[in-house]
This record gives sequence, structure tokens and C-alpha cells, in this order.
Amino acid sequence: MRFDKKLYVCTAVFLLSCLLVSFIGEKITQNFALAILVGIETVLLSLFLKKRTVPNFHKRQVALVMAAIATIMIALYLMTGIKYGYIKTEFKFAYLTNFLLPYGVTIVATEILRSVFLAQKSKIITVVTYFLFVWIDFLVLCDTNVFANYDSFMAAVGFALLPALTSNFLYHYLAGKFGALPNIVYKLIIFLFPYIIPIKPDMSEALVSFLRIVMPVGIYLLIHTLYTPRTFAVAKRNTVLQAVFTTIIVIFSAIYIMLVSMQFQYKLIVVATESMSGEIDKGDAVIFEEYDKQIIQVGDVIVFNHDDNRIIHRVVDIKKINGQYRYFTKGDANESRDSGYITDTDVLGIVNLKIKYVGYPTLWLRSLFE
Amino acid sequence: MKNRRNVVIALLLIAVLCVGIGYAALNDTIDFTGKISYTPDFQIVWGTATDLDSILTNSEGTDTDKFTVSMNTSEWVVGETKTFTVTVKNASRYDAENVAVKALTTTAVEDNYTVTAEVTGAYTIAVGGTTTVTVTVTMDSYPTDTVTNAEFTFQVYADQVA
Repeated sequence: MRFDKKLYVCTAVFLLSCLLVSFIGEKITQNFALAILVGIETVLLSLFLKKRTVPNFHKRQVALVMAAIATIMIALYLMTGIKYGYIKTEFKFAYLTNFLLPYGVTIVATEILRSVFLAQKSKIITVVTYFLFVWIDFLVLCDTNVFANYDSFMAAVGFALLPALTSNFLYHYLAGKFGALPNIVYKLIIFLFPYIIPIKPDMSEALVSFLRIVMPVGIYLLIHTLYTPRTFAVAKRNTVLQAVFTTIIVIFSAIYIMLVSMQFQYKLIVVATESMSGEIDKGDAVIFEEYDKQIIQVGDVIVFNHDDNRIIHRVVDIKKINGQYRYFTKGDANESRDSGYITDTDVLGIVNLKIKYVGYPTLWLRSLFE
Repeated sequence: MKNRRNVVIALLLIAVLCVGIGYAALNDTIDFTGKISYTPDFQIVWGTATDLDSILTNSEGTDTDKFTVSMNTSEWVVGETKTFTVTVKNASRYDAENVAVKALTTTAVEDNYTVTAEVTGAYTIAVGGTTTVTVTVTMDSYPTDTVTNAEFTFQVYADQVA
């Protein structure tokens, strides 16, 4: 590979500026610093680096497709609020100057810069710039102390880091094949709509994270399928096997996301206590069906709320007074029954299934923050 | 190309798995120490009313914590006082102490009547036992509406002995 000194110097300058911006603590200052630095570098490096044109016959068409995809995704996302309800987000005119303007400049500049770097056709630069752009996206999306507590760590990983990794894979692919325009159009819509639309669906953080991670890969597969020249010399047997394998993977992933997100009829909880040892041990996971007035019987293991705690215990007695059922519960390994009783409004669900040991990775991860 | 696509999908699955591990919900523990006290309404419940002055046209709330009586006051005179008693029973699995009652009156009732309800039997009720509440109603002024039935509701409270 030819050693292009200018290219490596430009990449090093870009790397240093990303690192410098990382140390700016105040978010709004960081936004502006990033926009200014990236903007200046885009202008200078575009002039400095030799441009090699990338044939992209479908550039405008792909840009339109990406705009349509972004719009449809936002519409579907907002429509989920019909099921989950909406949260009103704060809107201030200051957001236009503090967020929309610098983010807009950053998006346009980084995508032009990306297409310039990728046009150099250097594998090392492609990989290095991939991680640099992931870092920029992480800075834009994450504004908390990542290691402050477990929740901020998961927000940084699930909301910012992993989505940045998959998104930049898509952006690198699009920039390498079709130039900067499709990415600019897509990112401007996706990144800036939260600052304009004052409501958002009340979805669980887990489900939003899953969607933010999976969607870019789905878009990549769609664009790749639509715009890659096909070779038709494919063995029929491999296609059938591939289809079966893909179906299994998709079903498994959908079930997994459904259970973990806790937003659908069946939910999964990791057992972190020993009150049900013998039957359900610490480190196991249970799947329960959301309670919808099903008949609860003595002996059922239920999941319920008690003083803002989520408990998994067994029903040991039921009384009906004045038309209201009262459930008395006890952990199998506890000596005495739980204090008081619970009613239908406290019940979250009835445990259907236990899966041994699968909860240990979750417990280990949480223990790192205790 | 195909291999790269398979690698991307494999990495995506690993990312989804890791996020699921991170976001999986946990259950919690219950801590209960010291004296157990029930919400004292449902287990300590009303029994039946004894209509000493034959004034009650209706009563309901047996086996609940709220007891409501209706009485026809159309023939009462201002200053007239009527009395009736109601039993309170311990339908729980534990002894109860500090039995108390409270009249839940509306503004209309307060304007026209003085209602007192007090435990005249024992303040402690063993499991399955009963005590007595005496209710006294005095008409202070004639009601301005034409309703002939005045309605009064009473709530019983108690502490459970641990």
C-alpha cells in the first residue's frame, strides 16, 4: 500500500481535534467546539487531500430513499405512542441555537469529511475514521458521566455507543458507495427531530436501545440488496438453508427483545434474591405473563409491586372481602409470610416459566456498580 | 460481500444480546421488621346494627370497613337525639387493639346534624371477637332540601397486635 503522508497527517489532525473536544465538560460549549473544529477541518482537508471521484450513479435516488426511510421510521416511532402513551418533552427556542445549529453543522461537515476520507481508498484510514466518527456520535449523543451509576452506564452503552457503532457502519457503507448526500439527508432528519417535535412515546429504554441498534443494520441490508449488482449463480440448497437460518435468527431475536424490553405481554425478570431458593434460585430468570385479571390460585408464583419493589413470591392464601381479592404471599425460602397482603392492582403477572442460570451475566454486570 | 454481511449480522446479534443482559429487569426483596400492622380497615369489619330507637330505614356495609346507615328524619325536631349501636368484629388472623371509629360526614350532614360514633365496648378484640360502637345523631337544624332520608357513613380502624 502506498504511504500517503498527507492523508495520515490529516487523519492525525482529525483524531487530535476529536480528543480535544472530548475534554470540554460543558455540553453546549462542546457542541459548538465540535461544530467549529469539524467544519474547519472539512474545508481544509477537502482542499488538501486529493479527491478521487467515486462513481455513484444512484446518489440522488439513494438520498431520497434514505429521507423516506428516516421519515417513515419517525412516523412509526411516534405511532407507538398510541400503545405506550406519550411524554411531553421540553421545547425551548434556545435549542435552536444550542443544539440544532451546531449539530446541523457537525452532521454536514462530518459526512463530507467521511466521504473525502473514504474516497482515498485506504483500508487503515477507513477503519481509523470509522472509530473517530463513532466517537463523535458518542460525544453528541451522550452527555452524562458514563460511570456515575449503572443507569448512566447502560444509557451510554445502549443509547449512544452501540447505536453509534451500527449507525456508522451504515454511514461508512453509504458514503463509500454514494457519497455524502444520503448520510446528510438521513442524519439531519433522524438527529434533529427530537428537538423539534415536543412529544415522544413512553417506550422503555431497553426497547428504544434495541431499535436504535438494529435499524441501521436493517437499512444497510435493504440498500445493499437494492443497489448491489446481483449474481445469479447461487446454489438453490444454500438459499433454502440460509432462509431457514435467517428466519430462526429473526424469531429468536424478536422473542428476546420482546421479553427483555418488558413492554409486551410476556416479560422476563432476572431473580436477584434468594427468597424463592429451592424453586427459583438467584441467577435464574422467570418469564411471566402480564396480569389481565386471570384467576390466581393458591400456589401460583406471582410477580407483584410492593412499595415500589418488584417481588416474586408464592401465593399462600387468598381472601375475598367485599368483592375484592386479597393475596397473601410468602417466599419459599422465607420463614414467615410477607407483611400484609396485595390486591389485583399490585399484581404484575403470573410466572409461567423458569430458565436456569441465564441471569448470572446480568447480576455480574450490575455487581460492578455496587 | 456475503461473508461481510454474515459478520455484520453476527456482531449485531452479539450487541443485541449484550444490551439485553444490561437492561434485564431484576426483582427486589421485601424487608419487614418490627410490628406488623395491617391497613386496619378490611380485616376489622362492621357487623350488624341494633336499631335502639327504630330510626334506621337501611344499613349496609356488614363485613366491610365502611358502614352506611339511612334514617328518615322528616319527623324529627331540632335538638332531637337518636341512638343506635353497631358491632365491630375481628375477621383477621391476629388480635386487634386500639379500635376506633370515625364518622365520615358530608358538608350537608355537618350543617344539619351532629354525629358522634365511639367504641363503647372493648378497644381490644381477640381473633373472632366483637366489640360495640354506639352512634348518636342530633339534629341541629332542619335540612333545607326535601330529602327524607339522611345518610351517614362510619369507618372503623384498628391496629393489629403482632
